[in-house]
Amino acid sequence: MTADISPPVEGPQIGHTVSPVDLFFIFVAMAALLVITGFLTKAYRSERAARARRYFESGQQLAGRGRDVEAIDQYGQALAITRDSSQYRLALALALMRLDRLNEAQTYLQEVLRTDPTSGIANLMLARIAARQGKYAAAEAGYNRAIYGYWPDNEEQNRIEARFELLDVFGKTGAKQAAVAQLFELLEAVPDDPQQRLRIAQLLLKYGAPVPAADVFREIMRADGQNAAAFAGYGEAEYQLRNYRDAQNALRQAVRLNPGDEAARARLEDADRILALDPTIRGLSWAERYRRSAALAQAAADAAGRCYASSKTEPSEAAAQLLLSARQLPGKRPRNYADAVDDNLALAESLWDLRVKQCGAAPGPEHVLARIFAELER
Amino acid sequence: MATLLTPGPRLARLRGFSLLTDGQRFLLLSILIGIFSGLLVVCFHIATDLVSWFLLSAHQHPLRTLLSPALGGLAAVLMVRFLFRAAKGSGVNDTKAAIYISDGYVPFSTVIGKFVTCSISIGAGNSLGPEDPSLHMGAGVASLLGRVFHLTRDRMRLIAPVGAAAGLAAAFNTPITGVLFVIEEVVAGWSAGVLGSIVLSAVSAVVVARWFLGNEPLFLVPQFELTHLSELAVYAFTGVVGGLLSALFIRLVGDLRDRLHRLPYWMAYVNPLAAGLLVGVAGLWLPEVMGAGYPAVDSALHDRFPWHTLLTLGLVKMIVTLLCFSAGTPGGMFAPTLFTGAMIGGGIGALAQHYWPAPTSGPSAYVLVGMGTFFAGVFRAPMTSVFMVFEVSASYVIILPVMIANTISYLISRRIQRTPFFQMVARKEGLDLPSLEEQREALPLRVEEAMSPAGACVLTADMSVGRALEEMRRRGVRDCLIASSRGSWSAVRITEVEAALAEGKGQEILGAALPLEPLPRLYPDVPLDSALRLLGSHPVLPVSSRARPHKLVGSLTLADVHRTYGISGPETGRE
Repeated sequence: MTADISPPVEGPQIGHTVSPVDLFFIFVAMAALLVITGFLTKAYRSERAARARRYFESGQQLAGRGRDVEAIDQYGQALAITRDSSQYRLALALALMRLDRLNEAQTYLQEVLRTDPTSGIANLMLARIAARQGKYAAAEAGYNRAIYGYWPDNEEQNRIEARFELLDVFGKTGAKQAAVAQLFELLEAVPDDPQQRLRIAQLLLKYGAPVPAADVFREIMRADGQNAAAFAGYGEAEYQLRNYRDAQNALRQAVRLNPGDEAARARLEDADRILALDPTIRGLSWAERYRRSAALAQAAADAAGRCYASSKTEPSEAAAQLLLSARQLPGKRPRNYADAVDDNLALAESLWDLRVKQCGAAPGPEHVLARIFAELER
Repeated sequence: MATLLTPGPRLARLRGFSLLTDGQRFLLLSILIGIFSGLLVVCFHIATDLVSWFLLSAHQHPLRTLLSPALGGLAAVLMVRFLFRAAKGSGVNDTKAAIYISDGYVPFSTVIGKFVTCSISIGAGNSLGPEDPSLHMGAGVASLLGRVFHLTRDRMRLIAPVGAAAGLAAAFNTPITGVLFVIEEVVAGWSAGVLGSIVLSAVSAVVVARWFLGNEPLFLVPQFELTHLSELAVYAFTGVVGGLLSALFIRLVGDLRDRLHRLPYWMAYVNPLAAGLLVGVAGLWLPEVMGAGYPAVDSALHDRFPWHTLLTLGLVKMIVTLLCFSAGTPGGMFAPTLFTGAMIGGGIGALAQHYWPAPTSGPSAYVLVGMGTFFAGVFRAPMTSVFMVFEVSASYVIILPVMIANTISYLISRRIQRTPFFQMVARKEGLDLPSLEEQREALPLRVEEAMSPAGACVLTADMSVGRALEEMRRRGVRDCLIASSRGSWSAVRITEVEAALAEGKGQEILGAALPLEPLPRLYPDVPLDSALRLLGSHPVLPVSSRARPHKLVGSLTLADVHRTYGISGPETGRE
């Protein structure tokens, strides 16, 4: 049943007996209440902000000392008081991330993004969480939003760091082309920073772009003739580009400048061995070519022999014959060096084919042989 | 006498006051009520926080945590006892009492009393909420303004709910919830005038509250989506648990209040002290259960608690709220029910995330849904509970699980515990207020259950008076319907026909001999008490089909109604 408020049959109607004095006092009371409420609210907001700030700063101190659990409690108290603070929310999210409480951190970061979708730091945090959770598509999207988002300070530096982290994601997903594209963007972003450019060049090498990497290394070397890392990088790039002489020179310089660089030293040894073994290098005499081709055939035979031994397989008759031929090479004096070189190279390639068919890719020291044979195939 | 509001005719025309109807002036008064209520609620909110900051803060001495609720509760009870007696009861029940008992009177001392005592008791950490006191203060302000404006009795009865809606809406920052709750729980229905007033006051109050305290919803809620359809079963289970717990809660409140009221009168001071001490003990271990508890609900919405903590918080909160409320500590129940439901729901959600065979949403979704289930089960306001969750979260995605869980909770609670919470509390306080839930559930009797089938006495207007009298005597009836050619119906009594015959009009047709006034039509679905109002003026009424209004499907007399209501006595209309 409804309550009926149709106009009453009898009795006074609204306002007809309200005295002006009553009405005046009502509006005075409202005005007074408005003023009091205004003052109270102002004082309240100020006190509230101050309390929240104190909690936040206490949280920052605790976080600085590595006491994240207590810091989270303080940040939580600050947020409970002023719920619209992105700063407090971000601090809380960061502390949660440090404790691997990723789901909770994610919730707070998404709230930051709801009010500020272009926040660079929130997008970066979310991207990191996604990357840690293996959600690489989301991570990539997050990093891109972070790169093009808003950063209140250190804008360029933060964007650069976000790009580097995005590269890790590309590395995990095997997106080499995307990684290289990102590295080119980074190069444009750091035209005058040799340290960053060196880092970028090394990454270009890692992601299979030795040509631009070599350019960058060369540029660094020109600017700083004592930069061992640049020489090492350049040497590696030239090695990958099969320019072994240039690689050897650069790597020698790198080792000279930094004797402790074992990677450069090892690569130098590879380059030396290739240059010592490769019979196709220009400027060699036929005798030297013959000597190298014979050594190459023997090395291939040794590799094939090791392969059969490790796989506990007996070579076929044809293979055995090839192995025997290679072992008979030392001490032979050919009548025609040119033909002999061709024969030796053919023998070496056959033996190498056997080895590859039997044992697959060449590990460790045999990768040098693989390179030489790849050159021969070219 | 001319006043500011009733100037002389010329001035009135100039100022346009006479253009406003009484109803329109009532609506303007509603806005005024909303503004006052909003301002009061803002001040109350600030006062409660200030008390809380003063008495309770993080890393304080444990003794302070232990004693604050006890001393705050005792101080509040003493003030109610000696200074503000009218501030004693529940705001909802007092508002209903204003409608049904005291013609809209809510003493203004209630407003001051609730403001002071509840800001102390809640700020000191007692497990109670600020919404019911806000509702009560709104009702008090509205009653005062109603008296100042010398409202009629009918309007005075309705002024308290107008203020109550404003107070509740401002406290929750949810205008729809404030309006719906008052309609569902206090006034039990609405007409255009009631709805307009309540809406205007609620909106005005919320505008004022947001102006001063900001636009943020009560909770900042993460985004949700339904992960898998089978999840609805988990939400349904949340509703089942919510319903069972809410029924248990209501029963425990009733039992404990009975036990405490049987104690000597001086225990009325010891009870809140003891309840507060127990809250303090719980607060040393779980500080989240002290006060209204909204920050903890916010943390739960952000997945900050593991499942065992969530369930523990929900159960402990239920217990401490039960203690505080039953002990008579001033304060409301809305916030604690939201807290309890949120935590229990979150605990279920966290468990489901581990053990449910299909993917489920995070616990925070269940926190949100759980919030409404306990509320729906305790207060039996299902529509309010659904809209409340929607309003506090500003998330529509969650609406489907909320509807399912809340409805289940409501039905289960209703099944197990027939008496709703507020009615139970009212009876304990010596008031017998109508249960609006029971009114809603009562099946109304309709015309179709009482009417006589078509074929009862029906004459035509072109029938002669003599022939009509023969027919009526043959059927043994005192009243007959007369069908006119225009498709309308009239009625005639046998005494009128006999008089016409005596006047020598026996050969005349009924239409000429007697004044035949068209009768109002009834339809089978019309409530019987609406039909009863018309039977006072007419001895018999036609019942038509809505699809074919000229087709008679039956007739209704007072005797038919009496028979249906089970009233025995001399029947009319039949000899």
